[in-house]
Amino acid sequence: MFDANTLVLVVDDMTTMRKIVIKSCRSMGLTKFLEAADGKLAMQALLNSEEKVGLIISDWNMPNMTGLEFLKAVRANEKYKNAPFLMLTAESETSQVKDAVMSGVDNYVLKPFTPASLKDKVEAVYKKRVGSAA
Amino acid sequence: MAEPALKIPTHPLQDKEFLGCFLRSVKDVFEIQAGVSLKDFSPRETKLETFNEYAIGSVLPLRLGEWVGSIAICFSKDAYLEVYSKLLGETYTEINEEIQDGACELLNMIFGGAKTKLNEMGYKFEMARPFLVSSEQVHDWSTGIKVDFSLDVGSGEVFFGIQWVYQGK
Repeated sequence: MFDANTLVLVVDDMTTMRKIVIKSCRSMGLTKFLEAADGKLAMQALLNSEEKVGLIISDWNMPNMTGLEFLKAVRANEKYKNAPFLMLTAESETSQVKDAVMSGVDNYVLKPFTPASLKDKVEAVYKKRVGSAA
Repeated sequence: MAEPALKIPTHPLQDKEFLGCFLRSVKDVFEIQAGVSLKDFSPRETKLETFNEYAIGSVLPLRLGEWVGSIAICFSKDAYLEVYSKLLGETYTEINEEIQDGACELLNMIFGGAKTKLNEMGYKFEMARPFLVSSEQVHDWSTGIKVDFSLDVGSGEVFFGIQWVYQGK
């Protein structure tokens, strides 16, 4: 599992969903968070953060810059091209999932979700990106 | 290859399969995300105009061919605080700016679940975004054909409604 000091960037235009995600992550032992309300602000947060973000959890449907656009921007950035990226979405249509996979998402969580299902996905992302490299 | 024809119900609110997708999604969102069990519910004669305990609500616009509609969810104060407290696992006693977008998030999840199932069935709903509404705006919402559902969450009442207006000839 991710180290407790891993900096997690939580991106969602809804304050409530950011709170839910952060609360769930805290129950997994994670302690450090950055928040952003859309992809554009999230990209700024990534670029301005002195500490490297170790896990990104982002909503899909957001104003200004969607989660998919944000994912593409992250993958195009040299520093973050391999960053663990988990997408949250209320929709799971095949075409959308394909788009996200093609753009380099590591996994996705379908809303509504339980804390246990989010934990499973975070662990799967860890194994894929961090565990396999360790 | 030619695009498949857009699936449009003759009358959205008379199509049980269509309505059922929204209702199953309402149940899933309340039960999975908030841990709130809903009793079996069915359309009632609950009129939003008479939902006097309205405290907070959200509306999400829909379009399907020549049908234009929306879904809405509205809560009494006690119902919202109970649902929100369960969402976050901590007690909230006042509805303020910090917690009000929970109504939008719940409606967003309800639409997302229904949209996925309906689009698998051949409909072509686009992504849409919910917005918060005041009680005055909610009362304006009540034009067109509606189906209203009243949900008992224990400490208060939640209203969920679907509305459609035909704009074709």
